Amino acid sequence: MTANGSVVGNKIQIRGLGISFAAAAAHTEAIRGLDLAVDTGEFMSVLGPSGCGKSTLVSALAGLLKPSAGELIVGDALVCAPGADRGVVFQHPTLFPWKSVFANIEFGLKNRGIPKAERLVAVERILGQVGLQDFARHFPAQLSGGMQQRVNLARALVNRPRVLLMDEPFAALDAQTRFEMQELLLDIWGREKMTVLFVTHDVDEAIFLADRVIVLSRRPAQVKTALPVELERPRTTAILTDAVFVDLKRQCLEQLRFEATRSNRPVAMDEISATLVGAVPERASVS
Amino acid sequence: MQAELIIESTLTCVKVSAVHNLRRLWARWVLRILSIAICLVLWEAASRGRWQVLSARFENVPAPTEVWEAAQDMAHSPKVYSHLRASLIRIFAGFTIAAVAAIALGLLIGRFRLAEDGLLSPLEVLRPIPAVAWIPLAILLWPTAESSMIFITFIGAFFPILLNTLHGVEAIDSRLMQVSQVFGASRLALFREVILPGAFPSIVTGLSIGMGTAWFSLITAEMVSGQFGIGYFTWEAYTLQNYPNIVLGMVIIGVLGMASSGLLKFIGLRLMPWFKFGGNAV
Repeated sequence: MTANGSVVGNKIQIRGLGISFAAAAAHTEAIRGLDLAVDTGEFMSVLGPSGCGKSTLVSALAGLLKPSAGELIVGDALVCAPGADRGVVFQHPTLFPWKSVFANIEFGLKNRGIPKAERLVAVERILGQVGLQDFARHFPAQLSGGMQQRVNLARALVNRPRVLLMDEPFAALDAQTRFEMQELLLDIWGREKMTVLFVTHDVDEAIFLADRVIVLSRRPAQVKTALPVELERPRTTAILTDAVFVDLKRQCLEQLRFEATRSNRPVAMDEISATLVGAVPERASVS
Repeated sequence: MQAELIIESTLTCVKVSAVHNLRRLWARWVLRILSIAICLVLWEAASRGRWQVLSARFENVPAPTEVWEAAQDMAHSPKVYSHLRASLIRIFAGFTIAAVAAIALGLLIGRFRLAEDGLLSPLEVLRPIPAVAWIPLAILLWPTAESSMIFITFIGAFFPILLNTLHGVEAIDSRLMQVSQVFGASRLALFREVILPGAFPSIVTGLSIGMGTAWFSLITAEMVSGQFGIGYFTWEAYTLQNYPNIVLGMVIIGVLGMASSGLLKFIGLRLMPWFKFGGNAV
């Protein structure tokens, strides 16, 4: 294990993480005593009941939030500020409206002082990978939601981050576009082999993408279960009906339902149990 | 065979509707021009016929034809150009100083709490005072009439630009600021590539409104303390009982105001090519 070797470099270690928000009157504890490690080159999905602190975890790893307890280590460095070693993709594309697709993607490279010629090559390459080579001069507002999210992904990937943090990146997309994006992500990950922490509320998506699925407890979040996904790669739609997949899905949903029942969130519980038994909500059958 | 028929009939429909739209557009323009013509005719009739509407008397109001004649006379005299030049120089000086100062202060106050607390409070106290109310003090404050008029123009333009700049900075999506951090933007890069373009549409709006208030303030100042200038020309026309020139002065002021605001908007849109695709929201 050398200092600059990829083996040391890409690991995420979360030790005893605690994050609290002190609002005016209420003190909210989002995460308490969370321990988690994502191996180098591993693709990990994180599931959890809504409002459990999944996004908080991503913000902390990105260096945008200061933990109140514990430590976050990416590679061999303690996380204390945002850094180019970590790429972040949020649910909302958050592109700069005044920058062209090209300039949006170029932004991180430019901030790092990469020479112009190199930037050009890198951006052109990533544009090709996400299939947007013809849209370099467009502004974000001229693109569809799916294309905007591609730019968002490209903007993170162009920096060749050792770690990619994704917070429900495809949640706002329609089913078809979401599937295309999942395939695109797996394709790029297959080549680059960066470490991925992928937060989602979609159980199918979590299993389809990951090597390992983590289910978090309700707030304050702790790791509840870790489920290895032993399905072969490259993943295709065929695995969605595979017995292993179905069994994993059942386990995830059970865990999530358990967490939701513990919480005071009757709506979320209904939603999840309806998905679990595949039934229509009761109100619909009454009428 | 049937498919061809359908296509053909669809094409005919498209053609018919295109012609129909063109006709409607033409009809609308005719109506627009006609409405202006009717207003002019009514005005002409009112002043020629010395109408009295409620207690408003039209007998001293020059008719459009008289104004037109006055305009032709004026176009041949060199005097009008010195009036125009005087006003344009004052507007340019006062507005430019106001724009530079207000944009700089707006960015500073919007960005730093220290600047907000230290600078915004005195400005908030001054803001409700209309530029026109500054005229007596401005005459005392500045050595020449010229500089006091530029000062009044400056005051008129300053606050709309300041407030819009401030609003523009504060309205920048906080998620974009986070993204800038994530992608390692330095303070300078954050300012130049995020805050300035983010606030730019709002700044352009402020400049456009400020241009209107600058003209308003300048014309008043010229009427009170001027020598030369289009406001002075209009007021002089009244004191010399050259009534057509009053209306002529008004028309020139309107055209200048419209043209300068239009120019600003044109330049603004040129500088923000992204804006026409849906503003700053993505």
